[in-house]
Amino acid sequence: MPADPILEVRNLTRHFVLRRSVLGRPIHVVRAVDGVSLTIRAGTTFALVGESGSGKSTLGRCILRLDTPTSGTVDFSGRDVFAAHGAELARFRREVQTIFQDPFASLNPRRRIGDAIADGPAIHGAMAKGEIRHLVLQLLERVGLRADHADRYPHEFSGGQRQRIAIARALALSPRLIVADEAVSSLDVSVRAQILNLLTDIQSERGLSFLFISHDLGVVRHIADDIAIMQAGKIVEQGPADQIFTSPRQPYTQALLRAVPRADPGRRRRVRSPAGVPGV
Amino acid sequence: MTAAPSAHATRPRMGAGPKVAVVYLAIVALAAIFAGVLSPRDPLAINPSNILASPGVRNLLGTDELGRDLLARIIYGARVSLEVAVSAVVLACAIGIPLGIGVAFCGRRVEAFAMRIIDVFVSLPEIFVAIVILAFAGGGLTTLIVTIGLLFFPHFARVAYGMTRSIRAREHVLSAISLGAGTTWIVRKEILPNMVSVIAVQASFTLSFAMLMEAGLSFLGLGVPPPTPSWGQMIGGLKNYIFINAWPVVVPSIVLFATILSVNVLGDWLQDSLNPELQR
Amino acid sequence: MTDGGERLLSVRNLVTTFDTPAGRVRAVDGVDLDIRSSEVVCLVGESGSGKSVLGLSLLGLIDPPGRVSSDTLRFDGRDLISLPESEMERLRGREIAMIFQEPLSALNPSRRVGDQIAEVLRVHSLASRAEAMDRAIEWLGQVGIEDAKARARSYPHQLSGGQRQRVTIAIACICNPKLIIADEPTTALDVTVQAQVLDLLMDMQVRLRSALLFITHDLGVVAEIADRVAVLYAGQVVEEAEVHDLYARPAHPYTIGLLASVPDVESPRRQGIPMSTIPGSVPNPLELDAGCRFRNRCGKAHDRCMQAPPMIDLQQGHRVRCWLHAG
Repeated sequence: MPADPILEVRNLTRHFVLRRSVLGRPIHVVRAVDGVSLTIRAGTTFALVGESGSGKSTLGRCILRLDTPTSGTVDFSGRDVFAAHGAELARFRREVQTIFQDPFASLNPRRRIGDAIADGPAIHGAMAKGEIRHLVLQLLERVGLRADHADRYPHEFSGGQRQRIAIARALALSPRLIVADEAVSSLDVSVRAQILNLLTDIQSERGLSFLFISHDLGVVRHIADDIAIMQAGKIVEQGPADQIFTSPRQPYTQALLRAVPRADPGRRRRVRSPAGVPGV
Repeated sequence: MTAAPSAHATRPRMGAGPKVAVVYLAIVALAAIFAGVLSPRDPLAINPSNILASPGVRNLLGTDELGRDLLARIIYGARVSLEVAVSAVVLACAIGIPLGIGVAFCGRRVEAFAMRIIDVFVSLPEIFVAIVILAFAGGGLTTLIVTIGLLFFPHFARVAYGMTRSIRAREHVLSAISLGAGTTWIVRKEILPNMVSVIAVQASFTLSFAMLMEAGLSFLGLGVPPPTPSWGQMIGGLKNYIFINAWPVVVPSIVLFATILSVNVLGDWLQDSLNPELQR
Repeated sequence: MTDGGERLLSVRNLVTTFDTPAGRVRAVDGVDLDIRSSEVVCLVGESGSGKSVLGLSLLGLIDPPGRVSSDTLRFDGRDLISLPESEMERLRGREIAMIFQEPLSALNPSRRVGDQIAEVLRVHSLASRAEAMDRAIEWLGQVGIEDAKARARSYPHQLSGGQRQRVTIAIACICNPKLIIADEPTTALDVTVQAQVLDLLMDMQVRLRSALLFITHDLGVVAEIADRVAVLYAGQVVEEAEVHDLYARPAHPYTIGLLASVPDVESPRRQGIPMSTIPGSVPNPLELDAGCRFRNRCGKAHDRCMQAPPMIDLQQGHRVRCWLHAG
């Protein structure tokens, strides 16, 4: 049964003007996002895949309303994100959260992590202090940390632990959609799997939707329901994950899939013969 | 990237230099605060029968050209120098920091305009401007403090502006925005705490400049009005008698030199100890 | 499949330590390694494994407060431990070349790329100015940069990431080195560019018949290019084997866990089944004790693991540092 769309992006464009003439007319424009449309169904994981310069992070920021698009619309739960003010905007901020790539930069080095996790509820002011504290401790345990970690500072934790803290922070407001921008890319392979498992667990527990932005096709293969491949600001191919992986239609998608190294020496593309001459 | 939790960031151990500087400045500060108790004599008491005396039993550091006890005047001079310098720095911060932060939140055009004006102020040769202002505005401690404070606020504005811009781009600020934090909250919790260390270094160096400026202006007779003792003023007064007895002019000179040196040494140490933190 | 050639590099008990305010860190703790001519050896490890430090140690690029020591460090029949620095300088870039991860910082941003390639020849007095430039341009073409003559006059920032890495490969290869040490050369590149750069590197390796020590954390890349693999954990080699053997019959629990946690692009999505992981994280290098360093994360740890396990020889060329394989 197809789920209702929770996020709809229509024809989103984001231009950056790099140089203007003396009169203010744009000379050099970069089309970071160029007419992108996509739909995320509630409770599913939508992966946005692309290499550097594809515009996927810029698109993510526009969706989060951290950046304003040049044109196009973003509808969350049927409501226009950029038309929201006041209470509407506060509600949007509660319901859409984010996890960034760099576990070292995404936490304020000067604040205890317990305070950082409590920020969301503290800002929205709906909960009492004691309740918030209780929530923080609960979340810490849920993400695999301990209650006594709450009074420590970010630099006392490893990269994987910091991402767990970031996840706890994102969950504190009970969001409905989480935008994860390369959330596991900076982590070691063994830690990556831990974090991915945590994310998928939480998703099924809470019925969350994910927008997972990544360049790593292996990771995406494991967690995505739907995929969009981006290149140079446009979506090149889009569809259910299984379909894209098993029968990609566009040459760029095919090239991308071919380029991913397989962890199986029996299937290597280049054969090394004893004389040292490579067969292909 | 670290895989294991790192040890808590420790300040580099204080070398001999900074330790001596701290001790010395503590003495100066105590002298300033408890001048009334510590001073052996009245710094204003004139004694024409014992002018320009070398250190002796009656006057531990000698006397000046009016027979006033030098030690007493040095102690009270500490109070004046510190009062002026610290007040001026506080004033400069109080004006400069909010201004710098505020400008960083304005639109691009306002920012460019405001920062260019601030740049002009920063490039002014402070001592000349001070001389001109004080020549017109007349003497008085308040005028002096306000003048010096106004001359140094652009430095703080610049630092605050630069820091605000760079911190704003960090992911933990974006994270806070997506949690629903407003501008005030972000300034209070994300930006200011991360700015404190840099501002502290700036303040320490400005303190030494301010002290030197007060001394210079007082030396020229434009600063602290007599008979209130100020080290610079004492040097200015006693220099004329250097061929009669060199010792009296040497005393305030050494004290002034040592104080400014200590402030600079501490400022250097502060800057070094904050460097690894800044690089995180 | 190895060349079965001469042993080009022989390392026994390499130890690299760093004296930090918090104590002495043993980043590399007793590594044995052999590389034969024309062989591709991959050094696999995550952060904290010491893999990058190992690469730098081999070339004598560790500065105080780091210290390198080893029982044996022989290259091409020469003893590197007792080699004076001047001799070491002649070795670097000419017989042993290094390729780094970040081409932006490996290249001088204020010099043209052609000059930087030519400089390698000039430093080793292998060519005159004009000759060196000619060969630099020739090499730019060899590494797949079009319009080499014009491109030689570009500055690094004018090239793309992939192109910059090709330039560093040219710099590494131009003196026909016997050994190339590549430290995560493709990690910072897009996946399509990575494939191209890997192809290039392998071409070069074959053509020049040089040995390649490829340091990485990417098990997919290892499978693509390696003859032999050494797995590094917390400064020690925990397993070493010929590549097909390692992937088919991994012996050390860490290797097994690592291989299992790599998501495969080709396997269909396993709904609701969590990815296999290794619990915990790499130990703090300041808090290492005498026992097996992996035991806190190992599902099969037992009492014997409180003592440091020796390196045990399994079949043909396959070694593992684990009590589970001791008699």
